[in-house]
Amino acid sequence: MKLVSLFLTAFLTENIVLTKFLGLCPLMGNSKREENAYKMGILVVLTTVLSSIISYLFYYQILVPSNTAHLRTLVFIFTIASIVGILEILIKKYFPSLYKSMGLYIPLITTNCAVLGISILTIDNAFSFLETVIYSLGSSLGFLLVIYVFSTLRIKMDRAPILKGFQGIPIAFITLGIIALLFTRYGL
Amino acid sequence: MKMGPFLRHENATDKMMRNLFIALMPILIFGFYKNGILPFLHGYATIYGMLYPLLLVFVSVMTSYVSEYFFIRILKGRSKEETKKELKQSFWIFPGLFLSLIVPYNTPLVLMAIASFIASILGKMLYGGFGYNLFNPALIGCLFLLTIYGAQIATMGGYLNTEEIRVVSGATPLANVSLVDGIGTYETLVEPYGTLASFFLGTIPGAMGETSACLCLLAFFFLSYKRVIKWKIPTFYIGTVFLLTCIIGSMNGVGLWYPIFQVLSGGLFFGAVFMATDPVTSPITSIGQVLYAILLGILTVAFRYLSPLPEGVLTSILTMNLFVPILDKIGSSRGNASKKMALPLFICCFFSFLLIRQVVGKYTKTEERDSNFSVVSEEKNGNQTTYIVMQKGNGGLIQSKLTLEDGKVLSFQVLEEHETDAYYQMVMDANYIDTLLKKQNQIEEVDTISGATISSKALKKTMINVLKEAGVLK
Amino acid sequence: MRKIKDGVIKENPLVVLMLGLCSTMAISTTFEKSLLLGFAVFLVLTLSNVVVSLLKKWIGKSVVTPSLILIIGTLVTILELLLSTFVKPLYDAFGIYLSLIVVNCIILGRALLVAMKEGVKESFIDGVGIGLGYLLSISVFGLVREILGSGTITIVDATKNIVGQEIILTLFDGKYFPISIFVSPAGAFLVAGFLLGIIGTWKERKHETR
Repeated sequence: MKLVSLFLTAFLTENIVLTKFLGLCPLMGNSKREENAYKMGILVVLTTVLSSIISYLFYYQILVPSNTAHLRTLVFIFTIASIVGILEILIKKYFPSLYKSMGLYIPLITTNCAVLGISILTIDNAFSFLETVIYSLGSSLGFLLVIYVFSTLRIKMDRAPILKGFQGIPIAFITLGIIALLFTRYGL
Repeated sequence: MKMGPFLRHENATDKMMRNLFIALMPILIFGFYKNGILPFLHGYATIYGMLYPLLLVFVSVMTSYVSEYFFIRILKGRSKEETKKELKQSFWIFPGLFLSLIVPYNTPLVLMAIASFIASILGKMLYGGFGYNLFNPALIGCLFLLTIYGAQIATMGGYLNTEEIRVVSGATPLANVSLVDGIGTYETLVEPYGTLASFFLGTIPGAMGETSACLCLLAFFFLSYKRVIKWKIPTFYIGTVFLLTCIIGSMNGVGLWYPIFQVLSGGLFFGAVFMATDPVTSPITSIGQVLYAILLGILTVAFRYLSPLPEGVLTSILTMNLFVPILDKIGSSRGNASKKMALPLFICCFFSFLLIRQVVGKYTKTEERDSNFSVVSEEKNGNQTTYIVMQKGNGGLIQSKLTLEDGKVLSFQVLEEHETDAYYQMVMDANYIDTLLKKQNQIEEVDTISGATISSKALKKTMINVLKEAGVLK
Repeated sequence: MRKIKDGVIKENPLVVLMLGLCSTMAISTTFEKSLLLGFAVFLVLTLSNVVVSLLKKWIGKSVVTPSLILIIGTLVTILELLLSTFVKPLYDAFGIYLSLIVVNCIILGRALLVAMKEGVKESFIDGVGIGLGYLLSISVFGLVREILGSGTITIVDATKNIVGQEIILTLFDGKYFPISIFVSPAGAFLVAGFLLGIIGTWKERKHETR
C-alpha cells in the first residue's frame, strides 16, 4: 500500500530528526529526563498533526486562491502558536499534574523546528489531504521514537566515565550520527 | 576501575577470555583454510593471497591494541603502568578480532586498520571503555567500513575469495537471493554453492568467520556450557528466523530446505553466537534477552526481504542495541514472567504477521506486476509511445524514459537516479543500456553486472516492465 | 566592543548556547551555503533586535510571543521574497530551512532576553555580536564538512547569477578520500560531535593547567 510505504518512509528512512535535523533542540536539552521525553513527544505528535491539517486547509482554501502563498510562513507559525496556546490551556485545566511537570516546556513546542518543518514539507511535497495526515503522523511519531530511545540511552551515557571534554552534548551528537548512519541501511 | 555488573573478579575475566579464544580458534583456522589455503592450493592465489586472511586478523588486532593504548595513555593521560593495568582489564583484543572475521575478504589492509581503529575508539573507548559502550564495537567498525567503502570493496571482489569469484555470478548466497525470480528454488539458491551440507560446514562464499554454521554451533554449546555467553539469545534468535522463514517458505510452496538455507546463510550463526551475545550490549534480564532475540529474528528477516541490502544481521543487532535499556526495563518490571511478556509478545506477533504478509505479497505479485515499478506517464506521438517510469534501485527510485515504436524499444534514457556512484559507474562503463537495447528480444537472458547487481538489475527490470506495460511481453 | 567579543566566544550561539542547530546542520554541506546562511541569520537577528527594541513600548505583556513571531516572521518572509526573486538557486538550496529561521531559537531568544529589555544601541550590538559568532561557527563547520566530504571549497555556486561565474576550489579527489559520509546527515552529527568534543577537551586542558 502506498500509504503504508509513505508512513514507513516518514517514520524511519527519512526520519525528520536523523535526516532533516528537525527537533534537535528538545532532543538535546529535554531528553535528559526520561519521563519528560515521551510526554513531550506525544504533545509534539498532537500539535504536528493538528497544525499540518489546519495549515493544509488554510493554504489551499485561502492562501492559494488569493495569491498570497508567500505568506505561508507567517500563517503556519501562527496556526502552530494558537494550537499550542489552546493545548496549554486545556492541559492546565484537565491534566494539572502533567502541567506541573511539563508546564515550562509546552510553549517551546512552538519553536520546535519539527512542527513548522513538517507543515511546510507536506505542502512542498504536494501531498493530498490523506497523505498529509499520514506523513505528519509518521514524521512526528518518528520524532517520538528518537526522543524516547535517545533518552534511555542518555541515562546510560551519563553514568559512564567518558572523556571530560566529550561528556554530554558531544557524545550525544556522535551517538545520533551512528544512529543516523544505521537508519540509512533500512531503505524500506 | 568500575567494571559494570558483568563480571565478578579477575579470575572470571581470565577464564572468560580463554574460553572465548578456544571457541574462536577453530573458526579462525577454518576461515584461514577456506579463504587462504584453498585458493592457493587451487592455484588462484599467491603466497601473499594465502596469508592474507591472517594478515587481516593481525592488522586488525594490532590496531585495536595501539588504538586503546593511545587512548588511555595520551587522551586519558595515564602513566605507563596504569595504562598496562587498564589494558589488561579492557578486553582490547575483541573488537579487532571479531571485526577481522566479518569484514569482506578483499578489504585492503589500510581500510582494515581504519575500521579497527573506528571500532575500538568510536565503538568502545569514547563511550567510557569496556562495560560502557552502547553498540557492539566490532559491528560499529563494520558499519562504517561498509557504508563508506563498501562499494569500492565490492568492485574488488567483496566477500569472495579468489577461488569463489569464479564459482557463481560473483554473488554471495544472500546476494544471489535477490537475483533469482520469485522466492527461488533449491536449484537456484542452494545448488550453485553446493549442498545444504556445504552451507552447514561453511565451504561457501563469505567472510572468514561467517560461513561455518557448524563451528559456530559447536562454539555455542561450548560457551553456553562454560556460561560465557547468554544462551537464550542465539537460541531464540535463530529459532525465530527459522520459524518465520518456514512460514514464508511454506506459503510460497517451497520445502524445508528453504528455512534451513536461510538460517545457514548470511553469517546468522556467527552473529547470533558472538555478536548478539556481547555482554555489554545485550540485556541482563532473562525476559529482556528473550524479547531481544525474538525481535532480532523479526528484524533480520524483515531486512533480508524488504531492504535493498542483502544481509540483515549487522543492521538488526545494531538496531536492537538501541533498545536494550528499554528491554531491561520491561524485564525487570514487577510481575511474573507471563504478565511481563504478554504485551511485548503480542506486539512481536503483530509485527511478524505484518512482515509475513508483506513478504508473501511481494513474491505472489511478481506474476502480475513488479511492485517496485510504476509508470509516471505514457505519451503517444504518432507511431511512438514514450514512457516515463520509476523502478526501485539500490539507493532509491530510478526514473527513466523509454521510447517504443512497434513493440521495439528505440531509446532508453535514465533521467534520475540515486544509486551509489561507484556501482552506477560500473554499469555505465559496461554500456549496459546499449546491451539491454541490443538484446531486448532475449531480455530475460541478459546478465546483470557482477559487483553492481542491484543497480543493473533495476535497469533490466525497467525495460522488462515497460515491455510488459506495452503488451510486448506477457 | 567587548560585548561583540562575548557574542562570538563566551556566548557563541552554536558552540556554547546550542541554539539554532536544525538549519545549521542541514545547510552546512558547502562553505558557500554556510556563509550565506550565517549571513542571513546575522541580518535577521540584528534587524529583529533593533525593530523589537524600537517597538517594545507598544508590545503588551500578554502579547509578547505573538508579536515577536509577527516581527521575525515578517522579516523572514521579506528575505524569502527577495531571495526567490533575485537568487533563486540559493532559495532552492536553502529549502525549508529559510522559513525555519522564524523558529530559530537564537533570534527569538535574543529578542526576548535582550531586545525587550535594552535600548536600541545595546540590542544592535548584541545582535551583531551573536550574529557574528553564529556566522563564524557555521562557516568553520561547513568548511570542515566540505573539505572532508567533497574535497572542495565552494565559494560561489548558488549565487552564480549574481557573481557571474562559479568559484569552486578542488583540493583533492583520491580513492579513499574524500569521504562522502561527511556531507550526509550522519556526517553532520559526527562532525558536530567531534568538533565540540575537541573544543571541550581543549577547554578542560586549559582549566587544568591553571
